[in-house]
Amino acid sequence: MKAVTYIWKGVGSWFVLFIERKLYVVGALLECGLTAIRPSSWSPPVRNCLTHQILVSGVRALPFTLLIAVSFSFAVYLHCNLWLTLTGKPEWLVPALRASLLREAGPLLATFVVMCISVPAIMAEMVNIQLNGELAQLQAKGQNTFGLVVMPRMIGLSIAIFCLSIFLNVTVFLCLEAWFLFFSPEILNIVNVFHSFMMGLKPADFLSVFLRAVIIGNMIGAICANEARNVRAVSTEAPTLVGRAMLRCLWAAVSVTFIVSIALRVSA
Amino acid sequence: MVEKPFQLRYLNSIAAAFLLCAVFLLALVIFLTGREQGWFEKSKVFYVDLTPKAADVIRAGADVFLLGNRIGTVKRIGFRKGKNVVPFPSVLRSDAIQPTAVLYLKGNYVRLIGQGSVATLRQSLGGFGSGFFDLTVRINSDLLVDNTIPLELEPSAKEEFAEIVKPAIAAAEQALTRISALAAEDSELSRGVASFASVTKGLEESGVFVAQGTEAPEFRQMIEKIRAAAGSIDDVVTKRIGPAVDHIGGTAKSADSLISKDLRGALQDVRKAMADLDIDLAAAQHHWLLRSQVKQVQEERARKLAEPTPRPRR
Repeated sequence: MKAVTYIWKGVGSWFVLFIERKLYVVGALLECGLTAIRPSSWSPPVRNCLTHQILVSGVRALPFTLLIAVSFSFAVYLHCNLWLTLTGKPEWLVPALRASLLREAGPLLATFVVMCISVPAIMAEMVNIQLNGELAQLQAKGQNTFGLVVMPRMIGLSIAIFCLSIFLNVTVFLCLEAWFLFFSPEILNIVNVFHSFMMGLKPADFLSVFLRAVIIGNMIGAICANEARNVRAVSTEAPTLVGRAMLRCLWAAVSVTFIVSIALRVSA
Repeated sequence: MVEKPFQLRYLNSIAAAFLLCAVFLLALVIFLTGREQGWFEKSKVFYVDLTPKAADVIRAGADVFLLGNRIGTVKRIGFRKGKNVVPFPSVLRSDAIQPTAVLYLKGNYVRLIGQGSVATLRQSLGGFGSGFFDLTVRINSDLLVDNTIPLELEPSAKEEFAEIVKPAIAAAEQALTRISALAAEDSELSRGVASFASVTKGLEESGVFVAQGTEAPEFRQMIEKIRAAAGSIDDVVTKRIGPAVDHIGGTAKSADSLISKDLRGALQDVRKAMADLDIDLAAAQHHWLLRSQVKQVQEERARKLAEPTPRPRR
């Protein structure tokens, strides 16, 4: 009987925590939107925080992202080469590449890069703020802590993911053309590939990249804030929280990618 | 005082440059895409009044071609009430409304459309595929009245083929009926043959040797009967079966010319599609995702073929 009670208690507390986390993320997304549209929210410290976040998540991640784009494009080239050798039909390959590479893989890779670079940094920063009592002080002063600490990071992450997605997609496309030009110009005419890519792009592709970047960036910021809020008094909790935040961010990124893909496919 | 690192000293400038580069790249991609797809070119609206048959074939989103170039699409199928096009008419009287295809055309080619231009409704796959408009060029001609392009229906190869084949089938049925009538027991041919057989049998039984110039009455009678039977057969063949066969032959020729002229395109398309499918299947079998499965099936098939087939017991 006691065991059953423990199990019910465990399931119930897990469920409450699950709902609480989801509600926090949804609430944070709404709050971020409402705070960001108010010009008074953009005080100099907030602007500075946003710029700093763009620097950390975007500019510093750029070389690594470009490196990934180059190596990824080579892997894609090898696969394309195999398929073109077998089928000899580039006109079938290009639409598939456009859909899978530019629309799906590009934003997701950029998200992973930003997550790897930013989530530990943001978590460490927020845990320290929480443990040092800085948040409590700000709240005591009547400051909007969400607008000061969380909102610029959420928006900075969104901007970083969006910009990195563009850099990554453009680099992958250019590198792919370069690999074909250097290694197997007889298989694929790069002018035709360029024309095909451009003819196939639709406004929904741009919308897809934008939506993913905005939603996933905001969610990563909200999840980090939610996890950092749970730290109480011991700084050794931080690594566990970072790990959990990474997993939650990964799950959020994959879920949002999936949902946006389905939504755009249904609306097309 | 320790100087700040470079990135923090120029924090705002670096972040702005990063953002501007991304925005510039995005704008460039959008511009190139728009230029390729003609997003920035102004669309001109044309109308094609549809017959009920054409309205069944054409759909919104169908392509419009001029000189082999795709210059636009059918935006929607609406109804024309006087000069205005409405999504759905308030009055549903057949004399008051006219189904109309609204075409959105772009580019310089639009200037080649004028008085005398015709929108021919064609169907891909030799009449079995989706419909599209093919416009004819009129250079230095006057502008169209109300931007309305007259419709021309391409004769459907499918229907033409059916129209040709239908009489051929009727003729073949008629010929078959006549042939079966000839083969019936009470027909002239059957009676002639039976009579010939009886005469021959009588001659054999009587043991009369029939030589040239013999004036035997049975022999004369027999010759007459044979002539009558031959005449009957000749009559049937030349007057009845002959025209029927000629008709079938003519029909087959016209069907053949139709096939060679119109359906050849469809057959070529189908053949091309089959070849593509074949290539795809071969390629898919080499892919790492399917390779092992294909190999497994092939091995099973080879094992079955290698097994000795059991001999049936006697």
